[in-house]
Amino acid sequence: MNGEMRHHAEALEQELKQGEISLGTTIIAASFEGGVVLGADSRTSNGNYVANRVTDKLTQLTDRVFVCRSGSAADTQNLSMYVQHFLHQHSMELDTFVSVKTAARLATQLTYQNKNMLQAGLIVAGWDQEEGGSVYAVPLGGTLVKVPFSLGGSGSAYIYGWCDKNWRPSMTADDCRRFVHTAVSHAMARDGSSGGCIRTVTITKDGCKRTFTPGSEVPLHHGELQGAARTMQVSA
Amino acid sequence: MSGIGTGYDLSVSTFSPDGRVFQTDYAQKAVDIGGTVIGLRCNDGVVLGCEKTVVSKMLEEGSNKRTFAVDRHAGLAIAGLSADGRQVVNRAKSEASNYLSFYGDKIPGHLLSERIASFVHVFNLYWYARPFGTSVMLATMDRAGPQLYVIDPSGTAYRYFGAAVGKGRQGARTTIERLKLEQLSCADGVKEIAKILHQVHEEEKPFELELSWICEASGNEFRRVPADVVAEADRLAKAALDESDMDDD
Amino acid sequence: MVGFDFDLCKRNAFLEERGVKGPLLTKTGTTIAGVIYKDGVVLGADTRSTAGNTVADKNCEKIHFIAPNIYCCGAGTAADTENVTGMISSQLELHRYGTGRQSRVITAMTLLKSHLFRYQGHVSAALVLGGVDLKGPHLFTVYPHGSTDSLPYATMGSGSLNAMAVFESGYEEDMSKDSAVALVARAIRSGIFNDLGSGSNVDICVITKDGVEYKRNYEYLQGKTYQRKKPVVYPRGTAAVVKERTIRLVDVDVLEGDATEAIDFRAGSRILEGEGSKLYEAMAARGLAGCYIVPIQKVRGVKAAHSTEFYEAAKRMERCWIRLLDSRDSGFNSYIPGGKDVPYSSYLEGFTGNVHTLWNCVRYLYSCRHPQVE
Repeated sequence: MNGEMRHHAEALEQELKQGEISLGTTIIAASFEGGVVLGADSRTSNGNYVANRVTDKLTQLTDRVFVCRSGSAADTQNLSMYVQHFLHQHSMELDTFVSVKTAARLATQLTYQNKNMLQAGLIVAGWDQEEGGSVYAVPLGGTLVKVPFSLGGSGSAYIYGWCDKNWRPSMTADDCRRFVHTAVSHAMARDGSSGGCIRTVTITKDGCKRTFTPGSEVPLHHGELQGAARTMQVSA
Repeated sequence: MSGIGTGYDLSVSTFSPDGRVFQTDYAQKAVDIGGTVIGLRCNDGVVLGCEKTVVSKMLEEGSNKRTFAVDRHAGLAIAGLSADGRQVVNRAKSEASNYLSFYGDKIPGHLLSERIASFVHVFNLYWYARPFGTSVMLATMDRAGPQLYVIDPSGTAYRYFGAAVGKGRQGARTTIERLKLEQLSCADGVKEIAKILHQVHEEEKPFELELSWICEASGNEFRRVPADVVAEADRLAKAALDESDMDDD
Repeated sequence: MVGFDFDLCKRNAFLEERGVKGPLLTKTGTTIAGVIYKDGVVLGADTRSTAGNTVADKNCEKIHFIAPNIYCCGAGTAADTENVTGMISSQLELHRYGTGRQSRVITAMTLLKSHLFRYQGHVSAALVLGGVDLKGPHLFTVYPHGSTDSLPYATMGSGSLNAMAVFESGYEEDMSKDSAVALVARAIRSGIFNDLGSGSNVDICVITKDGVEYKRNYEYLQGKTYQRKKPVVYPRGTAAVVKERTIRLVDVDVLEGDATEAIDFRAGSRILEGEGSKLYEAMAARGLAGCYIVPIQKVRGVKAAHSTEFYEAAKRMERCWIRLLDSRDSGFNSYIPGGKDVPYSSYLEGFTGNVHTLWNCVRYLYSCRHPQVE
């Protein structure tokens, strides 16, 4: 490898820019009969420091499409702003709702075209007339894959097995939300960079419904204690 | 039109005192003297048909095409100067494919017509440009169902139930207006178009019939109508014409 | 792209590799913080700015003006925080002129994050942005790379951990103003005393829908060890009176009160004396408006450029006077710009402000009466 190439490779390997805030994260989106559920923890970290413990990593793109963000907070926030902007413009010329596929496609276009500037792992999910509930994974390099459910962020490694075992194709909205909620809670228990609260969004043809579970109410798992610190609450 | 342009017809960047752009009008004229092109939006799709005068006995059949697919779900028929028309076709193709690669979805008919219209319109704005001597008919099939658009040399786009441009447009339009298009299938549409083109064809010169459609029979993709179907429609049209000739006598 | 040019970054990196030490940036190794309380937002900051291990400024201002209803605490490179807040402040001002509406905090936040994101972290400004708009109080943190958080309480800078510890233990929802200010002051103090990058005093800014209270040096913890003695106050009588003559200034009629004297500059040193506000009104009536015949000692710190401030100060005092003495040895000659007809030098007795400024004021008065001069 020549010098230029090595330098480039090193730059890519380096996870974040110096001092950049990251969403060391657990995110998940899963489809069910008639919709999707998105879920995320709420931790934003800066090295060893939790910069925000009530972060909202589920960002609305259109009426019926949300995105789960992981990677650099700055990159994903600004990327989402651009996607929102383009989708808004597009929905005006289209005169109808924009499909989830189109939203996801825009997200990939931006991640792929700027792949050497960005650290952004996204999951775009939502509901539309053509496909019903759908989940699109937009991982780091900027590929686009349609999947029944998708996991992302550092915490996802701990729950792939559990999710593969427990996801079923035709769940009810409630079952699916519980699936997502439990998955995130397990990841938070094992992953140091995930934690805090659990947020979910359920999207169906009728609209979007959010839930918020404060840290004190996140289910306890093996070896965890109901500590005093856990009772401290923050309303978000 | 006030006969001679009196100097106001040299460029599209000057209006005439009575508010016309003569170059644009002349471009329309180029379409009006060309072969007739007909489009019908039937209840299950769209049919486009062209009357192509055979300019030479040595011409190989089917060599000068006037209908083109620009995407799987959209196609164009060009009336007037076919060289100009092909420029529009190329642009329409790239608009459709750009849209597909950017948004991951096929371009809706109204957007494609809008984008073609903008492209055509630009040639009516600058002194160094010449408007296209072509009107294009756009047939699309998307979520909104089958649609038919006509974009004329000035860059205006209209949506139609049925449309006719070119030499025989007057006669063709009156006939189309009498059709019950909502009850007409594309299979019937093909026959009607063949009939009308024969009806409005004036000269003794022979003409070739070019037909394309997008409907169930073409797998909801823009395709040329199969040769046997065209031949059958042509035969029926000729028969009908002979019959009406006899009636006249 | 318009803006920064990063060409020299490569060169600098190369030089640094070879052991060359670059110049130090003045940074605000800082504690800044903010909370939302019942009626608004409280922002706080320490006042230390550093260059390496040296304290560059012991009492700097880190709470920046963004809009009349929005302020912003800045940490990071001082130049970046000052300029980026200044730029966004001016963009918002133009936006207000365009829309005729109060600025929104989220607008300021979006402008800031877009700018910082565009520069990919090279503009090192870490901000706590707070304000009150039509939607109520808002508090954001903005990171140098362009990420933002919306929080009920927030801290930034090297002392953010200290401050956050205080917030995490002491924050309550819907606090009163007093307890919110006390909490923020405590958080900043925690940074000042426990973080090496932070120090000196506590600045506080309280924003409500009714206005802003900017409490500069709300807690003056570490005062200056040395006070600069300037301008020098000379004891009365230092300058010898060479001669003294009193002439009535014909054009100025003192309407009432006991003002009796005025000045004719051409004649030399004169005394002008009178009751401040009355004299002012008399002068104002003759088009000699804003003549700064003011209580000199009391106007310390008021910038002379603002005539209204001067006027307000003049109104507050009971008697005002300016005594002009011909005193070539007074040591103030250098302050006086040339002017042939104007007395060569003057010493304003009892004056402790900026002589040059006051002299300009008097000269203005004079030129109003004698436009041909200058």
